[in-house]
Amino acid sequence: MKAKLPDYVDVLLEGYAESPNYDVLRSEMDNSVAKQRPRRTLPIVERQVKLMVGNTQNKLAFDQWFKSDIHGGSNFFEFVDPIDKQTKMARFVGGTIKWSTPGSVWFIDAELETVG
Amino acid sequence: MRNYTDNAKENLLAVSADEPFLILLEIMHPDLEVPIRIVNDVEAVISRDQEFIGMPFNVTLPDDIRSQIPYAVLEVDNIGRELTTWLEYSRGGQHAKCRLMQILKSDPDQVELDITMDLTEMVITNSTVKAKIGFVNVLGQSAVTTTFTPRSAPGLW
Repeated sequence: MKAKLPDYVDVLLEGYAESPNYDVLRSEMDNSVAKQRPRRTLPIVERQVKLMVGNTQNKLAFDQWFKSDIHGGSNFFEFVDPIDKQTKMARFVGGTIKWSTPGSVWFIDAELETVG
Repeated sequence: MRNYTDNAKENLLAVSADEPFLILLEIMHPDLEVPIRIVNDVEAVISRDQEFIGMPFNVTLPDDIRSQIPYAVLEVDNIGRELTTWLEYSRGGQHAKCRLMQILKSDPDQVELDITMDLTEMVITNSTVKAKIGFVNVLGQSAVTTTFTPRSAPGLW
């Protein structure tokens, strides 16, 4: 069964950024315009996201999901792209997330990668 | 001399090419009922009714240098160790053949380059499997076990 980002997690607009990468090959020469060609038919999109997880109970549930469902952040999970609302397969880059809380609400700063 | 189609030539010569050249890789081995079919892209491709699974790998296409047997270099990631099991089982992929094909995704049934070579000299590390794809140097091999030369058997001369 495919893992899915838990329903209590929201992607915030604040701090959201994305960078599509077609792995373009570029040849620099002494003169004239460099040649360029893409090396993928779909981009790998890296997204800086801030996730709002909610209260401490949700935080603990997320930690459990992170450990057992996506195996320490190494596996892909279903993620709804906040821009086009399409479901895509995403994973945490390097399996790294950073928790923070200004008080009772927990947030995650992370980098996601998706295909397309 | 490679015989590319006009479409492929246009792509090769373009300052800003509109699509990538994809390399299809087919590994055939007597122990494999179905050949391994992969493409160096992020999604699968169907070419001539065969599905090639999208998988990252590096390939250096064979060169054409005088007095040297042409060979390509293939590098596949080894995270997951699926290949390692097969390589151990097949004694380092002995007698495996490797077919490299180059296509454009806009016309996946048109194969621009098609080469079949032997898979040799495998080097496996924790993160990658690297192999040389070339022809076994049959002409350079010794035809007999012992060669009698003036140096090895002076009494005969």
